[in-house]
Amino acid sequence: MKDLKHLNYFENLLQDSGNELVDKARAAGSICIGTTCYQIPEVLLNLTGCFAVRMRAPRTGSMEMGTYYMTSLNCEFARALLERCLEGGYGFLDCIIEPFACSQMTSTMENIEKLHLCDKDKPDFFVQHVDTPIKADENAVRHLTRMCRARILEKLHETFGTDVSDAALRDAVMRYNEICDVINEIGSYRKLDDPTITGYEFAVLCLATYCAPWELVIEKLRETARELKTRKPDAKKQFRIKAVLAGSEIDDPDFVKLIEDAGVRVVADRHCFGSFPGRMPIELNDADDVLEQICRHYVMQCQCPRYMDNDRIAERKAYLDRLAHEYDADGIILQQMNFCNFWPYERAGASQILSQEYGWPVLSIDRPYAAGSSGQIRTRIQAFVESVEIKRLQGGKS
Amino acid sequence: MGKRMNSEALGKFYNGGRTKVRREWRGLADTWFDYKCWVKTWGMLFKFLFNLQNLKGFLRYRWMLNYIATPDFLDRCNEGLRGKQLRLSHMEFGFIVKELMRSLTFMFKADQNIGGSKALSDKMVIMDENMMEEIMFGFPNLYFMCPQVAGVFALCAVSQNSQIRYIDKAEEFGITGDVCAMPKSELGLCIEDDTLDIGKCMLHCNTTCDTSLMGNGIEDWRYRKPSFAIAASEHIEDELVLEYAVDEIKAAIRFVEEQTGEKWDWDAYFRNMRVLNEQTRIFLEILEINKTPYPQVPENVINLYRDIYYTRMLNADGESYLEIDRKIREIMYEGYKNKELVCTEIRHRALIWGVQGEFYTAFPNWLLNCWGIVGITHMLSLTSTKIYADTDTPENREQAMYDLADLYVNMIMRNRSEGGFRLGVDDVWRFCEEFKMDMIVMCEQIACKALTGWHGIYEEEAAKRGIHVVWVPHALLDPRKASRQNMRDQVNRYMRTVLGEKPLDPSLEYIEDDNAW
Amino acid sequence: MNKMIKIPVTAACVGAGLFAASLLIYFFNLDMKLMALAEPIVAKWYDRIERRPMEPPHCG
Repeated sequence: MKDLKHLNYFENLLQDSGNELVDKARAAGSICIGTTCYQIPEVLLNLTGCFAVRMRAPRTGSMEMGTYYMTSLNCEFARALLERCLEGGYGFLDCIIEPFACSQMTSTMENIEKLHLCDKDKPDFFVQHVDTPIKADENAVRHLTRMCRARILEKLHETFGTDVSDAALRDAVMRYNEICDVINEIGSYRKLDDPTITGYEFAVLCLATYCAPWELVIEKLRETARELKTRKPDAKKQFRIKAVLAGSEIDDPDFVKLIEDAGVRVVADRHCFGSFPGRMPIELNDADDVLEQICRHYVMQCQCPRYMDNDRIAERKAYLDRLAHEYDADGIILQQMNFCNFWPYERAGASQILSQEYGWPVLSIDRPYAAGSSGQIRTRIQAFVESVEIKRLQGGKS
Repeated sequence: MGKRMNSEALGKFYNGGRTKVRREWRGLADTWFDYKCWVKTWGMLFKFLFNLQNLKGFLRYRWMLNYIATPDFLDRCNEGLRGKQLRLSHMEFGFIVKELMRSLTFMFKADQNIGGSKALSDKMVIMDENMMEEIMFGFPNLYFMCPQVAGVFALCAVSQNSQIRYIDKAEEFGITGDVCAMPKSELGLCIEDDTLDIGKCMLHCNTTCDTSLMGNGIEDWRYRKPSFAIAASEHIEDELVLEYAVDEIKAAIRFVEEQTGEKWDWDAYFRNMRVLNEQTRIFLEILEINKTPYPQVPENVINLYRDIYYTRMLNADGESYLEIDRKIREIMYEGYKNKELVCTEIRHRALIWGVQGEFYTAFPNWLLNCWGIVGITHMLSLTSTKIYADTDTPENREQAMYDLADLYVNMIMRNRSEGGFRLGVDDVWRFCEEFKMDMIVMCEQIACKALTGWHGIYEEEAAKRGIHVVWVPHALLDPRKASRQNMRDQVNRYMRTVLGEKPLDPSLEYIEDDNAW
Repeated sequence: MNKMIKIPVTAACVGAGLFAASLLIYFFNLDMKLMALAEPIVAKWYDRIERRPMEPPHCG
């Protein structure tokens, strides 16, 4: 397929955690907020004068210092972030707002705070922990609203004078929805029989919206969406099967590339840095409290396995099933970071339910943080591709 | 051998077999006392098995076989002890055994897998392990039971091998090897169809941690009962989280009322809360004495007992706990008055921190006997010591929901491991100062991602303060990943190499107990 | 009359014997050694119990 004009630009942007767009926005006076998780409503971190950066550690090599502080028994993502901060790689942040959701990531943030890794010459720097709910119900919506009002909005307003009025919230939602619209438009080409955008390309574009200010990426994304209108697929299909990629965070598009090099076209991305549910637009009405509506969206859309109510546990599997049907997938890949507390159980349960109850071929894998060149994973995926093809030949999904 | 502690080389009792070569001679009085307790234990066990329903349970559930090691468990907990320490230990562990037998008898009576009473089963509400059960205070006609205690939690103190099969079953199911063994064991129990079928409904909770939370969803495939998950925030440094917990407690009460037809009883609630408060006051007195140069109730004695009465996980009548507590207090003051030492020589006063490594290991006992390290207090004992509202007034009825919420967020173990930096790290130094402790025995559970995240900071802060930190990795319920000897080796190495000390009992440095219970 | 004395004396002897035996069992840990022998034998019983598989709930 013809190269997308801006793909290379975004690929380069993602090579560093502090990229040129972050620098540009900061130079213009915007506050840069580091965050780690969907569970902190992203729109609240992108009010006028602020922008959020999803923290990641691209091109991570050794994690020795991170491992000293957190031991080799902890999630590599958490350690890699700490390593990057110890190296000074996140000195550009003005604050960090993170959910008290994953104990390992919270430890990372507490280490950053206690070791003063990001606050040199920044008297206003803070690390704010925000307790987030673990069920999808009205209690949870109330709780998240309460926490966001006190621990995010009031904090931003007190520290940086950020406008946190209802009008400001609505404006942030509008800009968020614009990003969602363009990302979803781009993503819709994955529904084609022969998608005109690869999973890797989509991952790069989507990740860019998490790691750079929206207003500085949106035009290029719109151009890309226009390009895709006329982009033709290759004469011969470059994949053997299509799959939904689900699981814990994937902040390295090279991992998606590895999967696609093994014969899979990733058509939907249900993971922490993906578009489902991270780029689902928020609908606001004029009647209810704006903050509560925003929080309701994040609570009710959340697909994190941390949500422990039985209805939500079942709904997550139904969600994957819907995605797989909608994007005409042949199978589902469930992946998790090594040493994650949540995903081992979610994977074990989901792979059984998705295969036995919903009839999907499922590949369930765990992986290191930097998995872009893992031969072992490539082999597993190749085997999965072959098994799906065989099942297809035999005339069934499972 | 004799009536003095360390008069006998205790290591020589281990010959690599399943159990010890013989029991100790502790002098006439103490040996006679220990013998009487042993007779009583066997009496309880025989009485337990002479009940037909219990026998059916014994034959139905594989994990029941591990309870034959109960006398061995008590021997481990009482190893080397003399005088008041021996009496205290027997009192507490004997109580645990007695209540466990009672609780099991009650559960088997209702167990549908072995033809138990449906009517009784419908009066039961099933709860998660380590979950606070004080919500039962307001339901005097219901029984809040935790089958996981019998099959996992209590058992793993009795025998090191009790959970291996269930851990393996969970890993075959697809749970990765790095995940904590406790929720894996609970899940394995369900996969293996080795869990009781009792209860009208279930209350889940996100205790003790993220992985325990996750296990609930899959365990429900086996339990198949109406269930409600109490979401109790872990980050308890933030006072706002209490509101969420209050909403959840109220919803849980409504759920239990709907499922069982029972109504919340304020009289019963406040009555039970008065008992808990009384226990808390006694526990605070114990802590005060432990701050002095003559601590009387060290951690080998108090920890599991505190766990059980704080969480109410054996559904025992509160008054029966109080009876034991008052006796403990009496013995404690007597010992304190006479300036008695809990061991031959108190060389170090230690804070035992971290996810407890003393289930089947009887680790604090070993520290005492081998190195004269007295566990002054333990992370798991340092839960809420608040006195809660215990008289029925309109204000107190609203306060009661906050008190219950406070108890739930201050769940044992995780209030420190997941509660935030101040509770998990800063408080360590505060306790060291308050209790005049010069050492931290850091039980580092290798699958616990919470505390390991602070490893480096613990090291640096301890070094600044001149406090010795002895890291003792363990695997909680899976001895294959870190054996008892692995744990002892860490301490031995530190004591000899860093502190240049010699053990009080050199025979205990290396013990052949890999095959033991 | 002899019978009246014989029964309690016999009972006392039996009691004393049992007491002595219990002391020996206690001190030489014979109870747990017996349990250690019995454990693998009894364990085989549980292998024969039919275990119901754990099925996921119906979601689809």
